Amino acid sequence: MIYVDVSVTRGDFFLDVKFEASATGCTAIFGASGSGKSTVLDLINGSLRPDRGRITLGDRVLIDTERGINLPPEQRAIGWVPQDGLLFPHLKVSANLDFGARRSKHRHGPSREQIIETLGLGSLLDRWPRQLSGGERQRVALGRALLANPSLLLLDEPLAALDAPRKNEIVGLLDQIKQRFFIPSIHVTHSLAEVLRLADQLVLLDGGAVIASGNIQDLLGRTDTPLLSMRNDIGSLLSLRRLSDQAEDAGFEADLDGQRVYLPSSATSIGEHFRAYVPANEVIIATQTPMGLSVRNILRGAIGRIRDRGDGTVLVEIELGPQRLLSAVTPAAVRSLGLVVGLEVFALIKSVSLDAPAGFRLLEAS
Amino acid sequence: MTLSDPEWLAVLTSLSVAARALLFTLPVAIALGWILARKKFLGRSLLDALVHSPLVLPPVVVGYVLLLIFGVQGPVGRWLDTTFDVRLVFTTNGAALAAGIVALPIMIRTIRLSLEAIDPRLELAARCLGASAIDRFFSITLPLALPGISAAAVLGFAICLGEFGAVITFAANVPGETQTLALAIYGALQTPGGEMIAMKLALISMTIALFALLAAEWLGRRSRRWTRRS
Repeated sequence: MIYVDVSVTRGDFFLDVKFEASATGCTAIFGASGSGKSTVLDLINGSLRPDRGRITLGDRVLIDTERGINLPPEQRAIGWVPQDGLLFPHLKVSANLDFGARRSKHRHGPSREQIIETLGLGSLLDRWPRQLSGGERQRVALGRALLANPSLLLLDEPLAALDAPRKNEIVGLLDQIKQRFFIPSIHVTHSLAEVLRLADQLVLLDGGAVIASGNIQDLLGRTDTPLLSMRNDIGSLLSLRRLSDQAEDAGFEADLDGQRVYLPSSATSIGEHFRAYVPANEVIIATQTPMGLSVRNILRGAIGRIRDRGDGTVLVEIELGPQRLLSAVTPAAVRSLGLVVGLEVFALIKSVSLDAPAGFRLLEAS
Repeated sequence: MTLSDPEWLAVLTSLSVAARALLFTLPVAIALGWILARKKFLGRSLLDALVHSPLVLPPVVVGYVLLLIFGVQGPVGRWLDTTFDVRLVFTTNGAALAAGIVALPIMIRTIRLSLEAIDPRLELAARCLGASAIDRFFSITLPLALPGISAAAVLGFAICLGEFGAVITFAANVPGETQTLALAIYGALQTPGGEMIAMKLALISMTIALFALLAAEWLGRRSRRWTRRS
């Protein structure tokens, strides 16, 4: 468990955050620029000292102002990957990679060969940092952090400076790192697409305070999550399990808590769980069994919540068993269909709107 | 162009003085440059003004102040004399001290600028990778500042070769001990018929100075090229 409860004043900016994150998987800190995201990372890596508070990583106390404990950054074993990578310009890629490894006391976790292979660094080892492209630099920075045996990886907007294809490449690598090396990470971003692709847990930051935190699916499927539910690209993240092989013309089948959905494509194999993102704007609500439509995904559920966003749209939360689906409709549709909480409805989703892996398309577009 | 023995002696004395001066000024310049570039403390402006003072003071004044401190009657001079039997006045080491003090401000400035050009977050990155303070200084800061430090060394060497006022005031004009090129030129000009010698020695100092400036410029360019990209 990663536990953070700190406050710090920096000039006229006051930050007071408290959140817990599980010691596995990826926690995204999401917020606009100026919300204090990077400051949180500075507090965790130890470059900034909080006025008050406590940060623990498992049973290791990184800082506890009350007990007078403050581990310096060099003893925290935290892998920090800043936006621009910060490679040492006077060292070749291989020496950059080994910098932390040579200084870390115990060797566990992935080997040098594994990391070089996973990140595709083999051909770069003999180059100087200035000879690398933005994406390559980011990959080396990741490798350098991983080789130092971190107990936590801090990623500060690792994709912000990259173009769309590079973004996809790095996201794919981060996904692999998560699955192969089991190193927990905290990922700071202002991009919803990155959150959808990578995060298991979400911490929403605004004006130096945590306004919501928790499991990503819980936070995304709600009408009242601050920051998120006002976005026009908001949607729901559904947990699915693949049932069939890819048919040539029909895509494949997946299970959603007992209901069937059809998706166009996915990199998963049969039986595997995966996530799909459904933008609320692409979910249609029907009160009677729809007939003669091209839409293949017709899900049954009950309305859990209705919220008028005040911008000419209403966000409707549909409960599909334990999972929830958001749909954005007009106030007129709410009136004419008589949508009320508790009403049994059908949610219609075009197969092509079911986005798997989650956030892939959003990422391409951004 | 041939040089007579006394002329060669002046060239060699100059080189010896400059080399000895570098030996003590370079570590001092690195330390002070680092402190001024990185540390915030009370009296920082005072220290800054103090290390720059030889730049604006007449070198004769620098030499005179050194005499007051390191002279046989001066507090440090007497202590050195009684405890180590070391005298600086009228010696090559004394000339090196005087020349070095005059060169120090420019050297500190050059080193400080190259240190300030280093992104401090690089040191933080090293820190997060487990490098201690001393480790970071030698593995990151010093190598990145090396072009600037070399430029400072070359410039300092050139300044020491040509320093006149402070050297003659503190160390006098002793051939083979403290008579550097500049002092030898001055001496030649004071001697009837010494114009040719003065001209030869002047050409030598100009050549050395020109090379030093070119080298410093080249090293400075390297330094910028290195630090601009991260």
